[in-house]
Amino acid sequence: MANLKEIKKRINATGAMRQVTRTMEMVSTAKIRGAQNRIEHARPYAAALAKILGRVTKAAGNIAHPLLEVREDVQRVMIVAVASDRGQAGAFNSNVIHLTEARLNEHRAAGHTVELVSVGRKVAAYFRYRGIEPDLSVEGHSGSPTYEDAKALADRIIAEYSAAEIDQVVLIYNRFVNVATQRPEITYLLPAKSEEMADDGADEAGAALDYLFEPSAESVLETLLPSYVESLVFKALLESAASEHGARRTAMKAATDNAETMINTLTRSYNRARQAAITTEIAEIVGGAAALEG
Amino acid sequence: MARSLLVEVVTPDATVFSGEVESVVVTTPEGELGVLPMHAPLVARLGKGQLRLRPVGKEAAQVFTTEGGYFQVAEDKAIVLTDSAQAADAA
Repeated sequence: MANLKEIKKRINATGAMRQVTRTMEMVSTAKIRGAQNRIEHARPYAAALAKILGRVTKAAGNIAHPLLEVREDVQRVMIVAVASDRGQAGAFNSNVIHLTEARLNEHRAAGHTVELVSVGRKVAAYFRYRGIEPDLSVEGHSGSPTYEDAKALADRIIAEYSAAEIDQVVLIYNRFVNVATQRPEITYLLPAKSEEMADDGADEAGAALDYLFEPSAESVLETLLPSYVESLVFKALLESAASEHGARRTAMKAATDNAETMINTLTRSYNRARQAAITTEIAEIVGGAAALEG
Repeated sequence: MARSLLVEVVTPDATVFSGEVESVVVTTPEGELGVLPMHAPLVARLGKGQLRLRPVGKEAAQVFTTEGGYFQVAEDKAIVLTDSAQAADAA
């Protein structure tokens, strides 16, 4: 009889768990939509910015800017790892963490100084536990980053790069391919590649137009480049957020399905145990009656 | 035929305004800059200040407060890129 009770308890516990995972799945589904919308809304801005930037770099010709400066001898590298504040999202966090760690070790082996910037509590916690304190840890907004968050992070990166405290900035984040697929990706944030930016604006009709610049091409470029970096960081944060919800939904769907299978199995053993108990009882009664008759 | 200018006001979070206007006034760090249709191609930096749009066929101007950003106009198409554009009461 104790067995029956125990199975019942497990069925109930699994049922409660399924309720939780199913709710999380639905919450994530709703949040994916929001995050996707935000990516959509951010796109015109990034596109327009790239267009203007392409225009300006072309007009300004060969100009030097700290953010465009490619340093031959890379000694100090900044790794910006973007993941989540929360777990329960499958391999979402660990994908980024493992890429980051591999990269970190690679640079350390080559004798480079590595500055680690982590976005999301989970990333920071992982490296802290292994005795690597992130030089900067951004926490608390991984689910829905704002432009201000991106700006604050980008400003710090730009300041350090401009001051030549770092020679290269690498960004590691989960790229949002679609709702079911997120791909961890490594991209180079700085130095910025001016050819890339010019390409973005080149296909536009009227590229040959002679532009006036107010106050001057150099001065426009001076603020335009940081804005460009900001928008790249913002895009990475948004994609990461959307990926997080996507990954969590997939993970929670799997958890819900597993709970369902488990409940089915448990219910089957419960029924079997109950039937066994009844059969034993009947056998006992029949046995008892037979003993009386005899 | 009165000409008009297609203007888009874009922030990182949304496209705030998109439509035909008769004139645009933006604030650059060196002062206000008014643009009418058929303006020469121009790229400008924006400062903190007002952005005034006069939509076609409307008396009242639409006013936004912008903070930094860029302005580009070419062939009667203009883009205002700014970190934030708050709608303000027409003064």
